[in-house]
Amino acid sequence: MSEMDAKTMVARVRDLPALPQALTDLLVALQREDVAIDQLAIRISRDQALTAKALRLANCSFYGVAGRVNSIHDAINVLGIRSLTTALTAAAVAGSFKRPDCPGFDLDAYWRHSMACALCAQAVAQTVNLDPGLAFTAGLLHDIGRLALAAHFPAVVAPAFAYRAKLDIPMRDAERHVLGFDHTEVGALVAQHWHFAGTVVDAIRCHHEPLDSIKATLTDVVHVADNIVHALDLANVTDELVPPLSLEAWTRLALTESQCMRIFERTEVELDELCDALAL
Amino acid sequence: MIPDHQALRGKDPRSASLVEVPATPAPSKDSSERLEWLFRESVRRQVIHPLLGRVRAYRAGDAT
Repeated sequence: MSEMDAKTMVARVRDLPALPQALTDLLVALQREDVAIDQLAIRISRDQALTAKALRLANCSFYGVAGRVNSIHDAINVLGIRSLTTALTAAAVAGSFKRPDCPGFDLDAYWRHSMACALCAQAVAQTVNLDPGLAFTAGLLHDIGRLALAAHFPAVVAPAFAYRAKLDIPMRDAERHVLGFDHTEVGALVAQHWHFAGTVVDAIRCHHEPLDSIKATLTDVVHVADNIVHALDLANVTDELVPPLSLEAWTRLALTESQCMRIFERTEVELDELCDALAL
Repeated sequence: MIPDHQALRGKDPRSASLVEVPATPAPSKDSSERLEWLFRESVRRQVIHPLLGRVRAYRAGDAT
């Protein structure tokens, strides 16, 4: 199994959870100009479980419209199609994996960290004038490779958790040592499989090592947001560890101290409500 | 003791030898030592992490 590479891994995951077709259609449509919103809304509404969860989420205060969203059409009118898409994506992804039986993997901590990163990335993106909806999605999915590995290959990845605990090193280093690849590669392939935008796939693949760029990128946003939520110690993990920070990415975002304070506070305040809404 | 896992970087990750590190107990979440401890990876790398000062100021509530 140690010779397995990331592509082989994903090729073997034939039962990789599919996102609801209506959401997949929506994600694809949002990458085009000619979006037939009404038809998409009807299709989404037919998936009652997804709609119920998305509406519960849409009524969270962090969307700023608490209690006013009662239907998918309301959500489109009040939130806009892009914010609705973030709510649907969170609802769909949260329900797509069974609880992994993998020693060392803590699903509750995983979701708290992912949700915190989504909220923080959204706040950072708004601060630096990048797309907050894409940032939320990329933050939510940045570690999806870890969940996919734990859910589908617990016996393969469990030694990496043990190695990480033994040496007290970042999980990515442990994965690379034990598996020969890491969760960023698997996560990017999962996101491609789910038809997420290329910038989201890139952010997942490079969130530990943002590429050189002249201006700030979505990957920079997710990288810094990931660092922030580790530093805020939000996942309820005993051996939490803040990973290395790319000074280039940090410099490109150029967050001031007061902007950081607002981002920290907003992330902490919104996290519990978001987790409650998704029943995580 | 500082673990020598930096030796892993830049090599075939599976070629590096496993380095035993004595377990250091994690400070509890409400401990005053907890925040600095979270940044132990940067301490080991001997680099300053820009977020440490910002989060310390945020926790102290004394940001300007």
